[in-house]
Amino acid sequence: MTPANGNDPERPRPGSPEPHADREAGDGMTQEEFRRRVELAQERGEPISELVRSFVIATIDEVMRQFDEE
Amino acid sequence: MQKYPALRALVEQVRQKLGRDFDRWIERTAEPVEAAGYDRAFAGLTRSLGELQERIRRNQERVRARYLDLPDQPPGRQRTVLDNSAPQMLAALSVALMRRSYRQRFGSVTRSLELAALAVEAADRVAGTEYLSRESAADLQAEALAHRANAERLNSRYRAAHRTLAAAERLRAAGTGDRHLKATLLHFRSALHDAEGRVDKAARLLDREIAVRRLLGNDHELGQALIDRGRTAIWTGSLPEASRYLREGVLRVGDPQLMLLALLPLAEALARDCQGILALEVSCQANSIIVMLGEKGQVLRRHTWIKALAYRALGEWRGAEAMLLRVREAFATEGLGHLAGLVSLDLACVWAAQGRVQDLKRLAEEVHAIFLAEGVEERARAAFLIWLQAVRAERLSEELALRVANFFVRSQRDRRLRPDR
Repeated sequence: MTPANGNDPERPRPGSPEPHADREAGDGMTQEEFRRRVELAQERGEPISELVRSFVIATIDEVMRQFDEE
Repeated sequence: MQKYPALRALVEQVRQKLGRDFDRWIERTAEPVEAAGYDRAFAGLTRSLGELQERIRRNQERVRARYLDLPDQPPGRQRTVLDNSAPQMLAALSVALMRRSYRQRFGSVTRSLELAALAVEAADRVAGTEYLSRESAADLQAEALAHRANAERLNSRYRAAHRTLAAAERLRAAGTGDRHLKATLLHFRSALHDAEGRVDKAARLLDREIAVRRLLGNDHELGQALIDRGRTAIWTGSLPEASRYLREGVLRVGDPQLMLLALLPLAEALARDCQGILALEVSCQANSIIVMLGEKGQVLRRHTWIKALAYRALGEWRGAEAMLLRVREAFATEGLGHLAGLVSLDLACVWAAQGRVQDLKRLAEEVHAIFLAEGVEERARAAFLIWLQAVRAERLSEELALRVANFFVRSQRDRRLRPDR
């Protein structure tokens, strides 16, 4: 249950390591790398949609690659 | 017109906005070609179209500036604003409210419904004036009703959503024949069937929507429909087929939030297939985007649910239980009993694995009450009764709990499934 003070131990937080956090996506971009690139883009005021798109596509491709291997 | 590609695009844009009114508008504004010559006639048309676009843009700006906080105002104040607004402002306001209602689908579903109801009211008031032709007013009303139906669906009010969509269809039939509106109605109807577990029907409607969107060249909306189609294909087709839809959808949408939504069904399908590591990896990739977008509400809740399933597949009982309890509580608090029931079935798998017989018995009676109240699909009910008897007899194994939970979820989405498959 969520504690009354609102601190949710399972809720993802910026910088909180997830299991397999450093696993590479299909294009070699780790989650840390993705976060770093997003922060950089946000600092520069650049749109992040292309970063997200390539990250998601790489993830789908990686799933299918592993699925095909099995 | 071949010489003027930008003009052609502009004309098409305004044509879509005005529907059949476009021809009447052309008659009123374009200079006679024979008298003016083609180049002069096109120049006049460009100027008039530009002015019309500018007027639409100014109205939208004024609505944004004047009515920005209207959705947050008390109902009495909202009524006063609606009573004292000119028809052109009401039309723009109705569209703005629809958009805000739609954006809330990932946030507060209650709020989404309030905003859509206000959009319907604003559209109805426009229809009572002479600002728009009868056909265009019918289009506006139909679109507002379609958004309300979608919000009703989000609030699990499926019967009301069907009635509202039927009313929207009747108005669309009396409207301008706008194909964007047709595609919007197909989209919302598909979402409603999907929510009710008629995933085959939802997939067919999405195929029709995709065909219309391809003709219209709406890349973003087409992408969204493809992502939804990918989600249905996970239950009715195969993972490779689903991933093809998801992939094309992600390439077409412009909204990172929608790109994120392509990952969630993929992770869920993997987790329910007990491919825990792969499911957790996809879930972690999705988590990076969720954190970056600052997602809350329904998306975060759904992601937590899927992550719990991945933990469960890996035998991480404690983490899975904590997350499932929290998600269930959140759904129950929002009055989404059916979803709370589905989460409970997933929770039962964790407790069955731990041999927590008394907890399971208590849980079973709660779930039984929920499904009796909400009603469930026929085959799912049969599977649930087997599950219930096993719990009461203290003989629910982890394997049976898992099979029933997955069957229950899948049967909500694929009527071709049978308990023996």
